Amino acid sequence: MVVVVALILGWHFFFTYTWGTSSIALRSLIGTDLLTSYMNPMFTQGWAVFAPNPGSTNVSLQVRAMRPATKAASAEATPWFSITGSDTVQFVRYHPAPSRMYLNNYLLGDRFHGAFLAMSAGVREVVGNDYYGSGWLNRLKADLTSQPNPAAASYIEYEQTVTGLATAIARQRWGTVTAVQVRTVSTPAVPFDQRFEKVKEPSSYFIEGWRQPLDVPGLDSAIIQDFYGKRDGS
Amino acid sequence: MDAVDRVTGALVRNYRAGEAWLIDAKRATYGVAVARIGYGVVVVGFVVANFPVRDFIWGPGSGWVKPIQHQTAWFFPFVFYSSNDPGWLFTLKFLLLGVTGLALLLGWHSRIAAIATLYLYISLVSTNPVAYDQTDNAFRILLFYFCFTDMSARWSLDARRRRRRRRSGAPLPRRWLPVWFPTILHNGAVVAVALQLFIIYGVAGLAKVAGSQWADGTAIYYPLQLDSLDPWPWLAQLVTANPLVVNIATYVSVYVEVFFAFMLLTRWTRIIALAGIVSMHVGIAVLMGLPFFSLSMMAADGIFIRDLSYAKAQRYVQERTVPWLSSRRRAILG
Repeated sequence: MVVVVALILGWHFFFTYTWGTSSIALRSLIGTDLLTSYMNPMFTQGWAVFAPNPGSTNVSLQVRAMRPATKAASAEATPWFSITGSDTVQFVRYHPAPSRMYLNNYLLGDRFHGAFLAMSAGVREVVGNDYYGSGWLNRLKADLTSQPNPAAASYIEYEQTVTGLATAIARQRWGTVTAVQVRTVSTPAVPFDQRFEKVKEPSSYFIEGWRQPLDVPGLDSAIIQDFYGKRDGS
Repeated sequence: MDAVDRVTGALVRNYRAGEAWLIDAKRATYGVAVARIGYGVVVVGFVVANFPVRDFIWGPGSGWVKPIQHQTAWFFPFVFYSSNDPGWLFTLKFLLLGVTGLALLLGWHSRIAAIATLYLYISLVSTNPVAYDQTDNAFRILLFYFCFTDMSARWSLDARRRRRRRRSGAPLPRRWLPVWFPTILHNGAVVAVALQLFIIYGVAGLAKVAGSQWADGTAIYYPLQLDSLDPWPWLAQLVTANPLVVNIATYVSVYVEVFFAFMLLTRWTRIIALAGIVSMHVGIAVLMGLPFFSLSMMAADGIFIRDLSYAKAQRYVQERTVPWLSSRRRAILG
């Protein structure tokens, strides 16, 4: 009986160990397909957390919108609104057990930026163009894949996700809007040995072009209003 | 010939010792109960902490996540939660997770509660890939192994029910499996939890060894500079003010993780390893605002404390609280 239990556990944890270490030799011994199909989804894991170095860049996800022209004023862009900045104040600061809002929009911004960087430099500049009218997402996709670009599919998914969220927030925050624009602002942490100095590392910006608002069908807008509705006059 | 006999003898002795460990009795019964209570607290705490934001992250306000949902989506039947649910239905489903977590905490029909909790938790968190963190992996995998253990043997309503039934002389439920089978399953699962923890700490520790900030002793400063992991900025500033404190905490984190499995081999190094790992998790829980991750790990680490030590602690608490409670009861009832 010991042998049976040892064989089962040995088999299982040999696979788990191989998955965890990313060893090329062990992976080729098992076979990547077999390893992946065995581990996914129940035993999927990755423990190289805060490694090799901990993340040290704050990525802020921000949105602004274009308000339509009125009799009194011409069309104008709103100020940038930091979704993650709002999350920090509402859901992280002074919460001993923060909700998953500590993660949601920070990770979305980070992955959106990551999906952009994963594309080749030659096609990245397309993202900076403005896209309006129905079917703009398909046109963006066509433009991104006009030359071989395997990372385009992932970027399009994030573009759709981020623009859907940004549209919902913009509508609750500024009412009628004709376009939305999203950016991420990456600010590295001040190095440890300068932590007492009044310095701030320079931020870098990833700004997509203006987009036709993308309404998410069936989205309960009252929830967005509760969290991100206009409260402070910005 | 002597050498061959000695080796054969040692192999046979070790095999028999292993077999006896596996079959004679259920091991780490208190540690498994600690894990059950810990996971119950994690689930109830998770539901309470996320209740105000449930709709935006997983419910009817989360439709925006659909384009990337496939990244973590599970197959049928793990599709219990949907952003298409009306608000009242989603809230009921969300609270159901809290109810199963409470049942797990109390040890009420523990195995069913554990399986139901695992099913509901996976179904929920897999619907939003950007609200998914390592807590979910640790919780899912470790609770899966614990589902094969006897989580109700100690400190549970199930244990109390069985005790009362035995005292009253009522017949015990009929056993369908031979006695040794659940024992082997339990002990095998305990070993699985231990091996999984060794992999978690081993991989996490070794991955850090390659990092320059872990080498120069400043690494723990950096996550505390991230807005999302900094619930108490004044506390983070206080803790990271002294470079020696930062250096020690950084090095201890790596050493404890890398050597965790080996330090469990003797009594005193085991105490140091467990104290070190608990300190690290308390630091993560408080400073970084990740109490549910820390508790998911610490609850499983409880299996490394011997049943003897738990029983001793239980006696110590009982000897001091039972007479006091009895006197209070007499005073109240007159």
